Amino acid sequence: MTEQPPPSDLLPYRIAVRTATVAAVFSIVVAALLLHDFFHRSMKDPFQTSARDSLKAALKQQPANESIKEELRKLDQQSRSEYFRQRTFTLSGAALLCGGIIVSLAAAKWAATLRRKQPQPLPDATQRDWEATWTPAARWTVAGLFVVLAATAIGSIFPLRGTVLKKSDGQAAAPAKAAGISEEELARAWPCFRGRGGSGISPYSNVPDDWDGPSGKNILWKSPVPLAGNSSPVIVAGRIFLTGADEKQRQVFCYDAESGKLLWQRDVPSTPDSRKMQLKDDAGSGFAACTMSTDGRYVAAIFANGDLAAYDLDGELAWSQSLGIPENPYGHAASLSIYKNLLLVPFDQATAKAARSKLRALDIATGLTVWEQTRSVPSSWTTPIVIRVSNRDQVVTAASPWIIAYDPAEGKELWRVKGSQGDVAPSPVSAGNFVIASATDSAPVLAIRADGSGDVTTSHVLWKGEDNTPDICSPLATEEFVFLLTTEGMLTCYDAHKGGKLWEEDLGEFKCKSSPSLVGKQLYVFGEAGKCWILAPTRSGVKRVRQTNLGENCVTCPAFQDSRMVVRGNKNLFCIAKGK
Amino acid sequence: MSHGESPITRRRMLGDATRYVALGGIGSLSAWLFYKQSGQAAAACPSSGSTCDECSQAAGCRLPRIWQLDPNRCIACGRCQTNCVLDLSAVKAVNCFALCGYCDNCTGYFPTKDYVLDTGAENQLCPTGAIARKYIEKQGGVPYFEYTIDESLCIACGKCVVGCRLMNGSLYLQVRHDRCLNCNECSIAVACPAEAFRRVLVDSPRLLSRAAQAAEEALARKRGASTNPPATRKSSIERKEEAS
Amino acid sequence: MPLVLMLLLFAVEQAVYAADLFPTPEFSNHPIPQSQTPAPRPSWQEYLDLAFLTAALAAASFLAVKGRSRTGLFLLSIVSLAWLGFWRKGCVCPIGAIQNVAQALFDKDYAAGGMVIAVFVLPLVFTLFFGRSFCASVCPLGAVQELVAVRPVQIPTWIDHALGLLAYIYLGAAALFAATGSAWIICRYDPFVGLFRLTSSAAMLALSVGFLGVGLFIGRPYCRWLCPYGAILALLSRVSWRHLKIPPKQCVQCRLCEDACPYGAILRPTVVLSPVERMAARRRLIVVLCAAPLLIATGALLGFGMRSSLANMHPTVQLAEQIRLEETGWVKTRSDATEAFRGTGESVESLSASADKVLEKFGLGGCLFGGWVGLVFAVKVTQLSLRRRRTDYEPDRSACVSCGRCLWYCPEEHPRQEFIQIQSIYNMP
Repeated sequence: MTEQPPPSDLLPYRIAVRTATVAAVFSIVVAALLLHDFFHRSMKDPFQTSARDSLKAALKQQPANESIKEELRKLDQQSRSEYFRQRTFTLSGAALLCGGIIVSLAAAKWAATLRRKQPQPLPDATQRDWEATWTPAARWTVAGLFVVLAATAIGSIFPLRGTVLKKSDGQAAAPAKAAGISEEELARAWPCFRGRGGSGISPYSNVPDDWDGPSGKNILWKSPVPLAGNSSPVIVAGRIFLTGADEKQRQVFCYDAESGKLLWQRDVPSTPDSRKMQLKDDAGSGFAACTMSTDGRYVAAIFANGDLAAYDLDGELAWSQSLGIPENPYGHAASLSIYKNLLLVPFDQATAKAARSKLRALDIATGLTVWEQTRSVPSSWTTPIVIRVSNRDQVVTAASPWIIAYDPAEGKELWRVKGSQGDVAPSPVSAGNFVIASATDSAPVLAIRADGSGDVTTSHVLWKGEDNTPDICSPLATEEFVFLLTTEGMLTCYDAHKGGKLWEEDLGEFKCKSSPSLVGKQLYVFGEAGKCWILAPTRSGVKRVRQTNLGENCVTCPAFQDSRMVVRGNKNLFCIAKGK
Repeated sequence: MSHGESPITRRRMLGDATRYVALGGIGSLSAWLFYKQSGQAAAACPSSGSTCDECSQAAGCRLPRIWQLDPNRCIACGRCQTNCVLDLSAVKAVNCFALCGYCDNCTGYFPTKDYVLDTGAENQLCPTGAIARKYIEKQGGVPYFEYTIDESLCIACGKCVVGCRLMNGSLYLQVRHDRCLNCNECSIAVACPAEAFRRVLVDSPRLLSRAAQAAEEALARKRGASTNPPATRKSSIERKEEAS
Repeated sequence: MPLVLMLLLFAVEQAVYAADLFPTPEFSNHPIPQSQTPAPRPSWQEYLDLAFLTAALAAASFLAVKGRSRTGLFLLSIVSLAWLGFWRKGCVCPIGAIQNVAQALFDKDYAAGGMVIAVFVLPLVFTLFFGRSFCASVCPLGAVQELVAVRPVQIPTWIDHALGLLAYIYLGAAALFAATGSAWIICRYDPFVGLFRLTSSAAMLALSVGFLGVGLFIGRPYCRWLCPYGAILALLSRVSWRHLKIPPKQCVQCRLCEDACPYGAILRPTVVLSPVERMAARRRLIVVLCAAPLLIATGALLGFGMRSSLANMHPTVQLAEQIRLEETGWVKTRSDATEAFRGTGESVESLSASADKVLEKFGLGGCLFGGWVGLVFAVKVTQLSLRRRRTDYEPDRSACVSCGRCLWYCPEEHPRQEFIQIQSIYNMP
């Protein structure tokens, strides 16, 4: 070989090394700049500045101020150029970095090539069995790897949280407790707003028709309710359930029906979003306006902010969801309904066009949606009723302008009638094979034969009543009569079949928000001030039997048990029974 | 040719045989794949109405490969801005002029409160001022404006789309293929909560909302142009809906 | 028929919409413009890329097998990096094409495009004949790693073998997720594509930097241990017609190339075993062969058991699970995806039904994937129990990426390339 000077003296080598160093330094500098800019970018969004917010607020105060506008425009210009500058910077920076790295690597490689040393054989001279040195280790490592992977696979099959996706035939996520009460007990329950079928009719006629709150006459017990609310009590298995809420909390209460003792109270879970709900005015229905519902194993409650929860009878939370705050001018007030084990959740909101109103049926044990129907109706405050007419189970909803009945098991629409308008608050009622739906004080009350299919507006409306139609109180219907009650205290009676007005009775200065109830042949009409009219209606007129006094305001509907009546005032829960 | 020729052993023959079997396998696989994509296969093109016989674009069809966003499913969540692999997203807002109301008080241009009807930056919904508002004329005392998007400024945040949906809904987001890299798996498609992304034909890269489609056809009919085949391709969900 | 229905639908919708919308005005002298649609990349570019790919593969094969030029291979890899990497942004690549092909095989509604098929098949064919020349100089990911391997250290062979299995597992997983239409994991977790695009998310950027950092000291970590396409090429390269050889003619066992390969792909000559050792080796082989079906079966069983966790990669399953969590109260806030779903009007039942169908697909797919992993392990352990008789130093055809570094180490190469003037050692008397 010709004599060669050591490579480090060679000019090409020196050039290569210097190029590599310079390029490396350049790359490091660019990398540092990019990193700095990257942190800067991720910290701050160029479009969101506090300066902008304060300027916008200032502009709102003084819309004509030109200098504020100029400030805003300059700020906007800055934000925009900053945004695009970031993009350009990142792109060109990345390109430069890439170029720098490639140049430095190529130069380094060239330098390394120039400095290549002659290859040398490895030190150990004897020809050993090379493969034997590593093959056993390799086998063991491979086996070990297999074991590790198998362990990972097994680990992933049994996850810690227990939320492995199951096939949807066993949809239960929470263990469904067996029905804790007997059929008879269930039959005695008052499971939802205005009882079974939403009728307001007591199955028992031995309920006292005289009581006096202040003196305690016939008041078996009276228990304070920790949080106020407009929801009515529901009763099952010897327990009374109520909701109460204020701006900060929502609770479910359980009282013993015999003693009135508060057995348990639970906070209902909410989300940061649902907690933000505020009510617009006090004239609304409040945070806890919806009455609970039960199927005998679980009780479910919903609040005006869309928080929905189900508990078992002992107060253990089965599940909860937040449906989102409904868009509703007066606050969500539609109570829950129940069909076998399906909890029916009416959720009408916003406008008809928005089509955000829904009727959902959830499995009350698990909270999973069984069916859901979107409704082209705006907000409504009615509670759907579950009835059985002409061998079909139906759930009837009322909103503006549609009164729609669905099959409660699968959610298919059965029939619909167009007739309501405005803010619909009175819930529908049913007697015999017809449904009475009332809308507002300016719309007629309709009697609809409930055995139709599809749009039956022209075919199944039996009669319309124009006089004294209620705007809040739900009507009460029997096979003979239909009673309407306005908030001013005007009680009107229509013939259930022909629809003619039989009589009307002005109860005087009697503001009422509660819907009337029927015990035996007597009407119980609670007024806001706590007084209750006991009335005995006949075809020709009504006899005022007496006026009782609860002793505090009342806007709720009573629940009836055998010889008992449970009613909620604005402070206390009362149990009215003969004897005391 | 072969260096240091070793005797042909059984292993070498086995190697040769495997090689030609593998070659045959690769050959048949690629033949089948080519056949499938050529459109003659029974499997229908996922983006067209049904089979190629009914598709007017069958001649010269190369199977759907480019990404597009379906405005019918889009919820304008803003992920188009942040999830594109490109720093400045390949998705841009587009205005369907046939559907646009040319309103003075455009809810896609102006916010819903605290604003004045001028083009001041403080009144614009678009953070980068990418919407240009041009006065056209007055009719019956009502002024009309044309709204066009400057794509070099649009960042696909979707604010104008959300605003426009309060009225006609003519503004919608679309992938722009002069910018889109057409990644094998679109990162925005992965992140889209409404699963609004799907592949479309190279030859018909637009996807319109149902309202926009109707409006464009109405305009075409009014102009007396021949009825063009719908530019929208239906997704498998829509086809299923129709079939049921 | 569907066309009629569509037109009817549009007509109805038009009527419905017309009632609610602000009508587009008729202007006196301003036509309503047509919304512009920019044209995508012209198709001739694809043919150009394909031509480049073919030319590069041919050049690389020539340079590796016949030309035996490390410099040539290196320069070609720079060219490929520039064209396929930085200009074409590394997409579509043959590695990702595995997914297209997998989905085309199993999803009747999907067919891979012609370009993708060609990109997938061409390197396979060249590898069958000339070895992994694709990896050497054509793949931009390989080129980046080549560039970055400045101080490669030797990894102990036994670790290398074990880690090499990951590539096959990755191949199986990628095929599974692509075939079920769940996710294209090769594209999603490609560590180098962010470099080519010069933009990526923070997480992927960290991954890229990590791989490059590791690549400084360990040669081609992605190629050797993760690349699923490399796994296929390794199998095909085993039976290649021609392959890179270290000595141009005959190996004289001078041992100078022992340490030459930064990727540990040079196999050394083996000794002849004693009869005792041969018996032990045979016994071991029998045990391994008997264990092989057990490995495969275990793999298949575990794969089937994992179907729920695997199915969670699918967006439908994720959505159904998310809705279930929300409804049962495990998760309190609603996500965008579930709200968007609820807005479509599709029922939760039909979503659950779709999710169940996906789960069924994963039942079979998981079983196959697990069986594949079991098979891979079985084959590996078998291979490690077989002894080949070798007298020369030769590249391991499955692992050798034909980069050509080893050529310089062979003393016979030097007279051939005229580095030195002395006679060839073969010509010595």
